[in-house]
Amino acid sequence: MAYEPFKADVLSPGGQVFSGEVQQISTRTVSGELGVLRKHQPLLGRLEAGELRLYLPNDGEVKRLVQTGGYIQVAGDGGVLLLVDEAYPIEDYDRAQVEADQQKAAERLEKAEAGTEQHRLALAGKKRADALVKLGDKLDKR
Amino acid sequence: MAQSDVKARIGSVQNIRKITRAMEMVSAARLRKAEDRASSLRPYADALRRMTRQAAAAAGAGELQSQPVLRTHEQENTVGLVLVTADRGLAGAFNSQILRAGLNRAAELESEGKKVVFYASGRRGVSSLTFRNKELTGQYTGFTDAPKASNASDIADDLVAGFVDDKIDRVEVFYNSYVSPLVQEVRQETLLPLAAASVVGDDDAAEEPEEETTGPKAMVEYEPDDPAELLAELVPEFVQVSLLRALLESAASEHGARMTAMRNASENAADVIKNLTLAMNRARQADITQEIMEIVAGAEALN
Repeated sequence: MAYEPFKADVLSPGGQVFSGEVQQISTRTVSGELGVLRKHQPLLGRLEAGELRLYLPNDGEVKRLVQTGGYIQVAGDGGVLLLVDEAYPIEDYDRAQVEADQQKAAERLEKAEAGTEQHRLALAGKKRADALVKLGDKLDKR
Repeated sequence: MAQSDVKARIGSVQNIRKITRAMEMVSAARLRKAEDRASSLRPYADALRRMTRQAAAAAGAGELQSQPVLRTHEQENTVGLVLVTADRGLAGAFNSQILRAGLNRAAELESEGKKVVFYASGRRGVSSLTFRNKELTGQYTGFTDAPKASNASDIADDLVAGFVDDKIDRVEVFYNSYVSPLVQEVRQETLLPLAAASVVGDDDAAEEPEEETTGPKAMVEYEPDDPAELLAELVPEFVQVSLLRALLESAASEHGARMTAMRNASENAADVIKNLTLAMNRARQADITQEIMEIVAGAEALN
């Protein structure tokens, strides 16, 4: 079934990822899965690594991406803005690469001294890598 | 000057011109790429800045003290200055104008009784500050002509960590902002503390309609629930993206400055070649005239 479309933009440091009308957005924030439809309540949230789905209007085509983290903002006028650290098509998801990154993040965390800012950053990196590996598990099951 | 000397000089100037032409061409090619990267980051950086400002407004001044990264230190004793220079010279005033701006600012701060520590990106900045015996807390080199996001996050991590651990109380960055291939402007931005950062009470706040005023603030939902917590995540990100932007703008400026400098050098070399060629022709003509005169004089003596 089709919902009424609304405007959405996805930006990354490397440039614009997506800009246009969508009927639904499905993403992942720190508090869990989040679905956004038209006239969603104004929102400012932190995104976690995971899958980002943009449901395009009419024909029901779904644009599936992998996000590595970022922020989502639903403005007062209903426009949705996603700032992602990085986003790439889900077909480009590379299990081996993600697991290698997880290994690296774990090593970095071990080296960091507890209580320092470096440690906090390393922890965030580890969490992101874990979430991406988990996404791989989910994709394998499908 | 003898003819052969002039010839040798023309040869060497011609070689110099070949090199400066090639460098101009290389810079022009890299400039386009660097310019593209800088301009594709701009919408993201602007949106992130707006978002940070909104979250800061929602959190309120009181809550800004609750997180170490948001706190304004009671006393501003140590100031960290980040100087974004290039790894290589031959780019006109590119590096020297950053160093001059940074050192002037340092002198100003020191006269107020504050301590200044430097963070330098680019070999030119590092070597010149080391030469002047300045305290160099961070040095980052080897990437200035094509900086990556990880380069910016290395610097940002050090700055944020230094700020949270009370080693520095304020962070300012100096870089060449890209206006056009011919024009680079030294820009100074304050990154930390958040209350002093260009993000709060920024000049472009006036241009854009305040979205928050259309509805009550309480209507905005936050995830995580506490805006201060969200800000604590946003601020390091803001520092990192601001630095990446500075690095990318600086890279584009570097190529622009080098292109201009090398074009001037090539034109200058062409002038020198022209003058030397004239001098050589004159010398050759003088030799010929001399010879004819000698022959004529010899012939007349025989008569």
